[in-house]
Amino acid sequence: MNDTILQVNNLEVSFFTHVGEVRAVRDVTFSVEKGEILGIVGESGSGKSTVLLAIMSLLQHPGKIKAGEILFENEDLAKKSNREMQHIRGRKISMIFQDPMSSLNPVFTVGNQIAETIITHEHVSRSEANKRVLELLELVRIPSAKTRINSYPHEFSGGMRQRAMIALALACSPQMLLADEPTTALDVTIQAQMMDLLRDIRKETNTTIILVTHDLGVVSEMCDRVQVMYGGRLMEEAACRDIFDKPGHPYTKGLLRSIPNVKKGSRERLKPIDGSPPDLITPFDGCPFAFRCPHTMNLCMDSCSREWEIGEMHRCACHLCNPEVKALLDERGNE
Amino acid sequence: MENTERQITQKDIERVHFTNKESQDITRPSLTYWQDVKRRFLKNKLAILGSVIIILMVLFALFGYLLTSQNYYRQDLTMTNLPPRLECYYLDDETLLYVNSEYSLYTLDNDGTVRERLEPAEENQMMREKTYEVNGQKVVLNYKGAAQAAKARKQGDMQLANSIDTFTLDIGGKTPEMQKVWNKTYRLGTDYLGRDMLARLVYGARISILVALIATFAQFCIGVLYGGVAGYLGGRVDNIMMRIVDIISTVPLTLYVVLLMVVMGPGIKTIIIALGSVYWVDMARQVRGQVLNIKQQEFVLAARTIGASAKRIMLRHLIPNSMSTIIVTLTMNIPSAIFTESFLSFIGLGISAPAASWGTLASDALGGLRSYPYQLLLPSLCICLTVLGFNFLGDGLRDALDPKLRK
Amino acid sequence: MTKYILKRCVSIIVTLFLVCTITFIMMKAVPGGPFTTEKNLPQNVLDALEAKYHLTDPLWKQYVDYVKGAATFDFGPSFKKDGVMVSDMLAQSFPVSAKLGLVALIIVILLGIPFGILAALKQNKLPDYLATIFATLGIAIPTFVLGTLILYVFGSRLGWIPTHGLDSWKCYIGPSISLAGFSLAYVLRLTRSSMLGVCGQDYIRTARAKGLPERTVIFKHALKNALIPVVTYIGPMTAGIMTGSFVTEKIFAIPGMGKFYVEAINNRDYTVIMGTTMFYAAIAAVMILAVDIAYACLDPRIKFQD
Repeated sequence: MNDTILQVNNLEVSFFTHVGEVRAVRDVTFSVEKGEILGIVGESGSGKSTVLLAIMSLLQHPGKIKAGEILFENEDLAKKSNREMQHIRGRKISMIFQDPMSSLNPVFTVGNQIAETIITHEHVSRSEANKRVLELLELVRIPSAKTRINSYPHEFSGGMRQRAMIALALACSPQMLLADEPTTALDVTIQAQMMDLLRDIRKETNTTIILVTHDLGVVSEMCDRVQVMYGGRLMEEAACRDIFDKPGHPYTKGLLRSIPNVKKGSRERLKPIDGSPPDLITPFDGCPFAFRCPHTMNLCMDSCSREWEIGEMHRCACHLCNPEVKALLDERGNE
Repeated sequence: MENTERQITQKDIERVHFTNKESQDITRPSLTYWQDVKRRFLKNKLAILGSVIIILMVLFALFGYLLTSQNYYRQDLTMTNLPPRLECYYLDDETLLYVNSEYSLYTLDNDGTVRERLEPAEENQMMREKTYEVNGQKVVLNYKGAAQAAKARKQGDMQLANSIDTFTLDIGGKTPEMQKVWNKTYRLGTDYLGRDMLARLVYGARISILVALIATFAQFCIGVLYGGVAGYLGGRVDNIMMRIVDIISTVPLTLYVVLLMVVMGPGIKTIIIALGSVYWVDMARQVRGQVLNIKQQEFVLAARTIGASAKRIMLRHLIPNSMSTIIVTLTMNIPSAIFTESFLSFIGLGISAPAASWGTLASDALGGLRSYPYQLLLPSLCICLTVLGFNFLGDGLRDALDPKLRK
Repeated sequence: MTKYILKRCVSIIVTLFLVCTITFIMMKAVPGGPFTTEKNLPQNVLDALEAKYHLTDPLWKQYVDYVKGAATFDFGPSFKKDGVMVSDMLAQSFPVSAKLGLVALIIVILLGIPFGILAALKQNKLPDYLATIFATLGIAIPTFVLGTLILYVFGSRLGWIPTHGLDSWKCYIGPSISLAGFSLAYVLRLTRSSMLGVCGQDYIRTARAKGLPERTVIFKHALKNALIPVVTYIGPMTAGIMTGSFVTEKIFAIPGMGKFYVEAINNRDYTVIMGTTMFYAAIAAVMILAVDIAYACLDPRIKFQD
């Protein structure tokens, strides 16, 4: 843990809606190493995107960080004012959003939107900024960048727009890149290109990347480490290989069973996880996965497990990983 | 990291079993579309307020005549411009005196029932003094102040003008006690021809609401048909039809209405024809957009695949699914019809006498505005309230029918 | 862009031609109108009409002459006022109305847009509630009611503003506010809702994520998008101010086009009605063209439609 770039401690995010408080992120703790690609996996509504928005302080009303700290270079981003955050956003941490169709402003040229970031943070002249934009567009492999710099977003295809978004995010060579499902809205072939691009960028610039996705295929290809989120909580955290080889949490296991396996031509049936995602409004102290878990115990209904170390750098928040529970279960099994 | 220190017991590790249904049904119950619409509508306080205003206005138009014994067309030139609230003076316990703005003396019962206009026994033009004989008492009315006030007003000194008493009343050498009473005969006063304002307002409400409703219905028929056909046929036909709409709406629609009214002459029928035949453009656009949108959806394709006729697709699929757009546009068009009708009446192109709409009432009041503002305020208030009601209702319906349309 | 504007120009010329034809047909249809031969008019007016419109010519020739006249802003003599040319009346009264209309337009834009933005930024706070109440009431009050109320309260009762004429800047207050009222409320509402809609868009989040100052996010990224629907409303708004001027000029006794138009309507001065209608249509069409151009400048996507 010598080169930690981001440390999130006990983060709690809630949306205070008119129907009640929605606890989108609950007691989330994790750290990110410099230069790694961390994957955060989970289904819709698991709070994974909210974590990214909280890091950027971009939570929109009625969302709020209720507790916890977000330490970036030993400074707590959660305590920073909006004005202070402006110097960090786009310069030290930048973000790529899910839908490239709507994430670029339709009434400004792509070049203008990228140059704007550079001018804001580095106070360079417009021509200097334009030169940088050209380099960036070439870096993200936009063909004939010279003419494309003056195009409007609607003249770009979806993949091109996402490339432009990546160029925008890289404009000020940030230390950390937050990617919120960057490939979900794209075709499969374009997805692969985008992933190649992100990997190359990491190689060339050593940028730390947090990649939020619900696509386990993407995770297995890209990430060094993976975190699994469910119902606003962190369920499991491990090196990429370990998640696939020896998943600890019943939810992770379920997730893995529900992706098709084409490799071996296997005829195995896919097993969906029964039930639907939890209702985050009704207060519930137990494990959010309890209602869908095949191993639910009374304990799971009362409390959420702490994270147990179950391997090297492998942590899992499930009561089944508790040695005491294990012992008791063994005892019962022996009877 | 809650409860980590707790001792774990055998009971804790007991398995919990859910039936399949339980794990499926943890989400809240879902509502059908119309239940949801109803719930959203009833939750919207302004929409309810709007509906209440509209219902009250309709009740007023239907049954308002019960509130007055007068009718809307009877003129009484001795009873002109009497306000709803009268500044009266006691003659004796039974009789009140009222001086109108032309310095004529009226007698009233002490409950506010207007008896009659009195003829002066003697009038001194030089001294601006009228002498009356009422119930055997001598009443002297002096209106010298009026000229001074008018002079001050002309010089632009409104404060002075408003501070001068325009007349003095003298009963047997004493200044009588002043008492404000409500006009009981004409509850909302009379107009410049001595017609009962309340009766005319009720009549105006009927005309205004009727004209707005029928004209909107006509717009609805033409607009839905035109927009529906354009959207349904699509392609070239749609292109040409919408070009025509574009061309029509380049010119302010009111100009067409004015031209039509000039050609056909004023009257209720022509106003309905003019409004109905011109203002369908907006409806046509909305319906076309909606139909184009729905047409591309799978269920219409499916209907076509199983060989449903064009008429059936139109009636069973396109129109019902455009209903929310149509209802909202319809509700929003009623206020503009009311506006246009009153506007036309105001510039002298609308309803002709003795019939009246709120617009004609307001127009009639313009001449005597300074002295009898109530004649303008009452019909104006009716127009504003009704329009406000329909606006609230329209907003509420839009939010309820299509939350995505919410602005 | 040039092609787009040319296209719009052609469509506007077609429109005006159409209006011209409609007025011609309508005036032909009016019993006792200028284009019918049986009527009781002073001989000199009859002569002037005959000289102008050659009523004995075949119908198609009358029509061609009429269109030619309209194209050169020659609408013939007044039907009721002896020896007065319609075009002279227009030339005299148009500047008066135009000035007033322009003042109203400026009021709408300078007050409506900024307060709409303010309301959107302070959503669900006091300024928003005030703006919403104002806008709700504003679109429920017809121009003639607002005009007469202003005249009565501030003119007759308080004496703060003159009750007629356009002699000093003070005279503009009453009529321009009553002209602007409805549109002001509408623009306020439109700007507010449009701004709110835009602020929830993904690209605004992107702009914030870039680290732009809030000022730039709102006044550059959000505003330019939010103004698009507002700009499209300026066309209908011009029409609204135009028709509003009919009543406002009547109420405040201002010698503008609107007042003459209403007078002509009441006197059935057909040639004036026709000429003024054509003129109004032309102004509206030109305004719509201007709006289209502004729209194309604001929204780059427009060039690729049609």
